[in-house]
This record gives sequence, C-alpha cells and structure tokens, in this order.
Amino acid sequence: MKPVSVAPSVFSYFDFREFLKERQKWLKQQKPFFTLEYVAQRMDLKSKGHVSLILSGAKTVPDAKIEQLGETFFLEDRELEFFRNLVRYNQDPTYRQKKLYLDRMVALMRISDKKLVPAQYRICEKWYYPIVLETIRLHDFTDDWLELGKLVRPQISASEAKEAVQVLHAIHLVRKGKTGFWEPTDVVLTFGEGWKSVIARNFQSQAIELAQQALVEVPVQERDISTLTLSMGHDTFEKIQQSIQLLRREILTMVQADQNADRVYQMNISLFPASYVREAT
Amino acid sequence: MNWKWLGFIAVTTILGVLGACSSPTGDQSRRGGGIEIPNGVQASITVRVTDSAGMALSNMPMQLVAGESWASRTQSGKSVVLDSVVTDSLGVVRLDVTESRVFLLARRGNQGVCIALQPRDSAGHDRANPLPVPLRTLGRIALKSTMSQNLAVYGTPWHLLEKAGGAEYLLDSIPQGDYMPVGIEASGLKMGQTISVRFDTLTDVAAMVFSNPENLMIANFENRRVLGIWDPMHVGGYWWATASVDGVNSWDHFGMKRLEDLLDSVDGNVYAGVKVAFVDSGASVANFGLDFSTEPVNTNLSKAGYISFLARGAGLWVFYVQTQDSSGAHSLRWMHPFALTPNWTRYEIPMTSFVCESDSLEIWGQATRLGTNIFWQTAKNGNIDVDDVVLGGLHFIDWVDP
Repeated sequence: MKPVSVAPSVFSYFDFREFLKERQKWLKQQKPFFTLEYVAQRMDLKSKGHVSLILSGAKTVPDAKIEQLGETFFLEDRELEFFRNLVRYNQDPTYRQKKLYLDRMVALMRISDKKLVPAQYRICEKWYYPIVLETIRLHDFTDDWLELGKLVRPQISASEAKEAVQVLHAIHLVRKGKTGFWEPTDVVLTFGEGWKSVIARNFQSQAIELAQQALVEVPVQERDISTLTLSMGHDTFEKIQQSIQLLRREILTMVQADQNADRVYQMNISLFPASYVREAT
Repeated sequence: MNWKWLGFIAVTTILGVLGACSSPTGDQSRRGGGIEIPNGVQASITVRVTDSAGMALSNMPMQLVAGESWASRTQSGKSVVLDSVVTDSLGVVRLDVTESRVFLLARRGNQGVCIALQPRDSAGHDRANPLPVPLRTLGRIALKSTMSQNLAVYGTPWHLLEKAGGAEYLLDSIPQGDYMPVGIEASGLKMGQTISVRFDTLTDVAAMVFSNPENLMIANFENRRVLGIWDPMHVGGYWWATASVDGVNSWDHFGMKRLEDLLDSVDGNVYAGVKVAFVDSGASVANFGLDFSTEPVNTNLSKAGYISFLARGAGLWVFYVQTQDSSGAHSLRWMHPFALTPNWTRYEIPMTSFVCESDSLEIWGQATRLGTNIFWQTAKNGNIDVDDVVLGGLHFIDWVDP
C-alpha cells in the first residue's frame, strides 16, 4: 500500500467517501488500531461490512450519524462542519439542497484562501508574473533567473524573470525561505468576487491571447481547449455562472491536494453573449 | 452585462500548458497552488467639471485618452482616445476605464482640463465620487526631436501626433499643479539606443486643485521608455528661480522677478528668462533653472554627450548640472562658466568638460550620473533668457539589470 505522507484535508474533497478512504489509510499509519472494525464499533454499527458498504456507496450515512462519523475520523471545528455539508451534498437528491450545501462548503474553504489587497494587484502587471509565482512553487530557485525564465512557456528573459520575482517580493507574495530558495507566501490567492482593477482586466486579456498561442503551439494531447455555443435564458445563465464559480473552487481544491505538481497551466473560462435579445414588437 | 442582449451565449473553456514540463528539483513532493481572478466589476471614474468659479459645466464634451504607448498606438493606426462622453446637467460624467493609466481631457475656448489619473484599484464598492475639476487657462509648450525619431507626447493630445520626427510640436496643454504634465515617448527606441530631445519653455502656470482625490491617484507616467523632461509627478518638470543674499535663501525675492514672470512668450517662440537686480550689496547669488528630477528613477545622463541651449543676456554666468548617484544620493554640482552676449547664441557643452564643484576628485565619466536639475547662476546683476535646451545623446537604460 502506498503510504499517505500528509494528513488528507477534508477541504480538498468533493466526495466524502474518497476522503474517508484516504483518511482511514493515513490514520491507520498513525494509529494501527484504526481499522474498519474500530470505526464500526465507534459508530455503533453491526459490522465492518456495514462501513465498507458506506465507503463503496452501497449504503448512505443516516443524517443522525454524520456528526459521529466525522468525529470518529478525528474531525473537529471547521473541518467537521465542512464534512457535515459534504456528506449532505453527496447524498441529497435535490439540486436546490445540493447547491445550499455546496455554497456552505465553498464559504468554509474560502476562509483559508489569501485575498489580495489592491496593492498586490501588481501581480497582474505582466502576463508572466503569476506564472513565475507558480513556477517558484514547483522548483527551488535562488537567483538563477535564466533557468527560471526558460521554464516559463513561452520563455521569458532572465531580466524579466528577475523583475517578476522582485515585483512579487515587493508585494509580499514570495519570500526567501529558510533554505535560501524563493517560495510563495500562500497556497491559493484570490482577488475575491468584487475586484475592480484595470491591471487585472488587462491580464485576463493577455491570458486569452496566450490561449490563442497555445491553440497553435501546444500539442493537442497537452492541452484542452473546448468550446460551447449555447442558446438559453437569463436564469440558466445565472446557474451556469454559479457552476463556473464552483468549478473554479473545485479546481483550486484539486490542485491543493495534488502532491506531484510539476508544471504550470493557465485556465481561462469565458461566458459571454453572442447575440442580442430581439425587441418585443 | 446587459441582459437584453443575452440570447446566444458562448462558453469557452481553455486549458493551456504554460509551464514547461520538468521534474522538480529539491524535495520530491510538490503541492499545487493557484491564483483565482473571478469576474470582478467594471472599473470606472466619476468626475464633476466646473469652471474656475465652481459652477458646473453641463453638456461639455470630454475625452478619455490612453496614458501610455502613444507612439505604438499611432503607428498601428489605433486611436489614443479611448472614450468620448458629455457631462450631464450637473457637470458630472462617469467613464468606464479600460486602461490602467489615462488622461481625462476637456477644452472650452482657451481653457481646459487635463488630468493624469488612474482609477484606484478596489476590491469592494463602486463609490460614486463626483470630483470637482475646475477649468484652467491653457499653457503652451514647444517640443522637437533633434534626431529622426517620431515623438509621442503625453498630456497634449489635441495638438499632437501625425508629425514626423524632427518637426517641431507647438502644443497647448494644461499645467498640473505648478508643473506641466508632459512626458515624451520616442517610437522605435530600444534599450541602449540614444535620443536627443529639444524642448522649449512653457507659459502661464496655474494650479490644478483636487477638492477630493479620494478615488483617484495621480498617475506616474514614467516608465523605462519615457523621458521625464516634464513629469506629471510633483517632483519634476518646472522652472524655478532662487536667490541667496548673505546666506539667506529665497525663492523670488531680493530683486528677482516672481516665478510666474519668468516665462515669456513671443509669437512663434517661447522662452524662459530672468532679470537679476540685487537690492543690497551683500554677498549674493541668484539661480535660475529647470528641475527635471523624476524620482525615484531620474534621467540617466551618464551616456549623454552634451547639453546645449540658446541664451542671450548680459553678465558672467555659470551653468550647472546637478546629479545624483545610482542610489539617489551623493548630490553633486557640475559647473561650466560662460559669458553671455545680447544676441541669441547656442552654447554646446560636452558633459566631459564639466568640472565638479562639490568634489574636485570627481570626474564625469567615472560613475552613474542621474540628472535632477540644470540651472544658471550669477553673483552679479544681469539678465538671461534661455531657449531650446537639448540633452544630447541621452541613453535609456532598463531599470532592471539585464
């Protein structure tokens, strides 16, 4: 069995069964007594088979047992609250209720994100600043600007790489770690929903240009560029907007959980009107 | 988004690889991370335009003009005017801002406003913030490139552009504070190349008052391609005069004319001048000069070949260049004495011929010299008019070490 080196965080999962499986593996490494029998016993269930059925999806968790299940897996406070919503999100059959639980999960996840202050919007001044930041997350760099620049795609010059790190350092988004390597100060950065910045808007424009380049220059197996042309009404538009918001959140959660990150990707999501509403006669 | 327009929606999801694939160095396990930019809200500015008496100017056309890259925009056939709007009955106008640096312009007769501004980034509310902006009398400035480059000039869009390099620009503009908000951008200029820019004087300085700058920041138009001869920041770009009598400094007393009288305008030409008439016989010195400091990155004069200017007048004068080192410290004064004649004469002074007054061991070419001022000094009564100052062979450098 592959050892699980880091405690799985419930905030990284959108499926409570996947989380419990990973968590049980990790807990068993730390506490050998943490078997399915132990879980069944703590949950007042008939047998470990019952636990297996829950984990496989053959049985649901009764509402009254959700709290107990979380506590058995040593969850508390915000993690436990997230877990309660996660189980209900997975098990509730109605869209309206699912969305309610998902909203609560997103709100709980966002607490750990670093919201940028306006002075830090400089991260968007050049298209490669965010990419340099994420590249630093993946690799050890001191002052080898040429190598850093070569890792960015398309490549940037050594002076551009140095300039990027200088700017990121000035706005406190990277720092020199104890080992002497540059490192990001935070795992996830967000502008928040209400940002207003021309610099950031320009960056989005540049990101779309990068996608155009990627369409030509990046082999199709290395990227995913897909489009939809849709006809719909306002209500559906709003639902899709909410879905996009959650998709972004889910993706950020996935990358945080990824322990083998080795490259930087740019993902652009666009939804915009391509026709006018016909005036009523 | 305008919902009436919504009928046919396209969704595009693009996932492209930007980082090169390579195995991480150092530790084996690397957690991912990310940066999220949601949809956001539209950036805008709201301004209320008044006349100098504070009365609202209704139905007044205004222009929002790009704050940078004029040269490249002009060359590629793009307009530097981003938006045109008309003030409402209260003189208020709201503009959506799509660039990080812009000018807001309006003109009525010989009055106008020209505000260099940028919307303050906000993570929150879209505050309506009417900002009274009084009209001011226009000033004038003449600029020309002494070489073949085309120049794009910030701050004076209504009499600008479409001129070939080497031609003279005679521009109307608006002073901001005591200073002319003008920057110069040379097209096609690359790192390491040089340019000479000749500039004339301005007239009619007047103050621009921001009654409530809460939602605005005065933009710094300086970037590494812009020569801040007249910089919109408050630190640079103005003529000044001082006098010192018996060690007491003053800006415009002791027989010197007031600053606003220094600038003269003759039809077809503008120039700066000062008359010095000390009122007592004490040890006296008068200075008259141009501040072009653009903190924190001053114009690098290290690779400049010469400074030249037209001058006329009477008396013995000393021409000074004031510099700092690359850290912005160690201010030095470099001198070159000369005698004035009544007729306009061009004086061309190679940088290497300046003698450092502050430290006799300093030699011009030994270190980086960042220029902050040029000025003319006399210790006796006299007069001087100055025109067409040229900084020859200015060397543009990247602010990040290559």
